[in-house]
Amino acid sequence: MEQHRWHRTGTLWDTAGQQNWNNGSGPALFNTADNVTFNDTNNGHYAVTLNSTVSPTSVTVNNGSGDYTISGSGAIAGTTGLTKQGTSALTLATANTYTGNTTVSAGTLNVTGSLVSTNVSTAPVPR
Amino acid sequence: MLASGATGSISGIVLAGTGTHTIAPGGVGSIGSLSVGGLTTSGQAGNLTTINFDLGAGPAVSGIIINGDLLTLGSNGATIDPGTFLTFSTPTLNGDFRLIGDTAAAAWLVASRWPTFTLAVPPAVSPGRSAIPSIRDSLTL
Repeated sequence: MEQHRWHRTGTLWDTAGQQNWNNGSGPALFNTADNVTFNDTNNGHYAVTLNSTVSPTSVTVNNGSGDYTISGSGAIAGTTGLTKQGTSALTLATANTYTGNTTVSAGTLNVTGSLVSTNVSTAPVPR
Repeated sequence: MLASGATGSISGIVLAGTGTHTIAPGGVGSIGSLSVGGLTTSGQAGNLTTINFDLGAGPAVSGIIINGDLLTLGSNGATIDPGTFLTFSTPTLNGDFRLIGDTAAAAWLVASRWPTFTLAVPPAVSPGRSAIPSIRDSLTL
């Protein structure tokens, strides 16, 4: 699996051919099981269109300069979790089915779609 | 903060973790509905949960004002830790405001004592009371 950072030049997060990611070496495709990060090094592009089902290994959103929105007819699926960091917001408008935990460590998670199989904690649960 | 837009749905359980945090159906200052499979809050200093409700402006339906924020519980119910904060927008009408409802017969709401309120009005638990079909009122203000 690779580490991918959202670095949009197009609009879509897909599995077909949009090189909207940076793998540390340059533009890259998303591949199933990649670890993906959405941060503020994104050319100012915070809108993500997801019209297919994607299954990353992990999803981290760490934004403090703009609010991310993930919308479309697709979904985040599989066993991944999602971690929200940074002071800005993430709006999830898709109907997601991933089964890992969702953790809001900082900022705001707006759920305007659905999270079907995940538990949500507002920060790492004390152990 | 965990919020929704006009509607949002989480089938799993929302758990209070570390750090202060807010759960806001509709977001703070906007009306919305957030459905959760279950909810566990914290009233502990440093990990305090605040649940924010924006109240409806009526009119009442069957004696209950139902057009404000709504937190709907699934079958895992809710455990409200003592000390949990509930905050509200200023009501424009006197009356009963539905805050938390449930759609499952197995849903429940547990609080060993009621949370800290920013309004002086005590809450009332009214299980089984229903202002609209399919949603029973678990907590009204």
